[in-house]
Amino acid sequence: MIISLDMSSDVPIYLQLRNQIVTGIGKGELRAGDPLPSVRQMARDAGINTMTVNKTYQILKAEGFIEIDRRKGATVLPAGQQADCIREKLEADLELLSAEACLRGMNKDEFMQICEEMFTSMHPRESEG
Amino acid sequence: MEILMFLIFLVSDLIVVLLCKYSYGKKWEYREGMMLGVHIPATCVRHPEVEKICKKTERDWNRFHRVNLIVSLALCLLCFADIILFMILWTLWLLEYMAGLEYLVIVPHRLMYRLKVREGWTDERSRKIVRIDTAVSAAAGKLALDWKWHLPILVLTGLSGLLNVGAARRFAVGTEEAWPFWLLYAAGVGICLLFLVVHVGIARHPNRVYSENTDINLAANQIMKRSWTEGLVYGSWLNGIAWIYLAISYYWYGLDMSWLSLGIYTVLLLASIAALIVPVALSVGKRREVLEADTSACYIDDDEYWKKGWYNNPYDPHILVQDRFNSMNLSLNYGRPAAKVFTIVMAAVVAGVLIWTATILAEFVNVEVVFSREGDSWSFEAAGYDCTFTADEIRSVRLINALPDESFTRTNGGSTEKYNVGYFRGRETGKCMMFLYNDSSPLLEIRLDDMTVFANSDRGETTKEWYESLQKSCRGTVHTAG
Repeated sequence: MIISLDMSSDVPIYLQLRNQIVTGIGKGELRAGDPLPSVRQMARDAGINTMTVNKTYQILKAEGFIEIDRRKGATVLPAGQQADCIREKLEADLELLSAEACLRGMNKDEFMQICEEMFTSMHPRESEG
Repeated sequence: MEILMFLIFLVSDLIVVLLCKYSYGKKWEYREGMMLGVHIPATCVRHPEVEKICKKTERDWNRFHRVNLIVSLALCLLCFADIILFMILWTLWLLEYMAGLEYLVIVPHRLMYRLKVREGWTDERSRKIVRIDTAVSAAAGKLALDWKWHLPILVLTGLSGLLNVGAARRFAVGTEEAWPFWLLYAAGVGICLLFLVVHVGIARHPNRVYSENTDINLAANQIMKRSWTEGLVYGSWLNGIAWIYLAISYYWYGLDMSWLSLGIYTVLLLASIAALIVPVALSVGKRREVLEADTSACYIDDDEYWKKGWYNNPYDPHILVQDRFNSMNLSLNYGRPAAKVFTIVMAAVVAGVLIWTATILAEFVNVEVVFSREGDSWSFEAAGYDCTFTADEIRSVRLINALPDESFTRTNGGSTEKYNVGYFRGRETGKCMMFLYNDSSPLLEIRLDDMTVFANSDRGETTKEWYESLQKSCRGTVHTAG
């Protein structure tokens, strides 16, 4: 998958990286078992600090999206192994997004349609092997 | 000698001019979303001002290379007339060519960038975007050849210094005659080491995202890294083998090694240059083929950092980046202080080498053999070479009409049609020094304890005066020719 980091964005780089990897897994661009670049390689290719990438990987690991093996490096975990706290986090995120949509004058149907389209575009895939 | 110099410079000039001409490619054509190294929308390619700048650049580029090719090849003919004048003019031509090349790359680029800004073709949104292809980055270790391929030849080349030591002992070679071999040894090891460092740099070079298609990104990055690292490994091995071959010849035959040995060494060195250049040159076409087949190319408008004609991006931590104007080349990021320091050091080294070479060459423009006596010591001096000896060291002095009929090899010095100055080694005579005007006769043959000195003045009478002066002080047998 292609990750695009916006260096001028207010969103921290580690968060952009985390969000894009999660989206990539959700859309099936990254399959379960797919290797992620090493921390050093990812930092080198993106021109960012290794600590930033390390922070992202630790978050993804804590959230259950990837596993980190000393020898194999970081790999994507199969869908369904997400942590139990996901509902709580989703509710918090959706609350904020709903508030923003509401304040910008968006009606419920429109908001729900966007949610449905986004959710439909998600096709997490298992490893081909 | 002159023919050899003529051929070496003729081939070098052809390689330099043609390689530069074609490696920079047709930058006036729309490739990778750019014209003359500036990203412009595909819809603006036919803009009248774009076409005007491109046509002028193409015309100037081709004319510049045609003229320089003819001038450089014509200059080589000077080898037969005056080698010193040729060296000076050739160096000036090379400086002019490099400056002209930079001018023809930078100026049209700046013009195009100014036009782009004026017409508002900048893509502000994509300027600060960094893209990473996770599949390419994850496979980064397999894209380039392993750097450890350099180790065996580096170690062998390093160890071949022992052959230098052995040869010096076997043939009692003095320091002043041995140093060219140590210089070649240092060059051999240095090049192997340099190639290893560049190899590691290329392998660690950040991977670029050219397309939304991962296969394209993988292929393009692999072609670039593989060709460079393969070229560096082949080049390093051939360079090491060339030096080791010369070191073995030196150990076996000493300074009397044949011209064939030197010829084989030169051919191997040329082969090492070809081994580096050929894979890289071939990769340019392959990479272009891959990228032109891409239907989902993605470009990042980072032209702001190239607007001066070189890369200056303080936000990019990389010091070495792929050159925008020559896909065979790498460029420094002048936004990083290390790149500036490196450039200043390299410029100082090049200027130092040029001045040093010019000083040596200047010594040979007007050679004057100076014979002097200070107390009990006699000395000959010419073109930066000197030989001092006392009367006690002289075993014999002879006045001869010509050099002994044997072959002499120059080990450290200068030779032209007019004179021979420096250290030589004769097949029969052994180690000797010459301070000779070739067209002047007679000449002095002074046999010392450890070597023989041949010297003369451009005036025969003066040589005879030197001979008489030496004759009076000489403790050994004195012979006179004829």
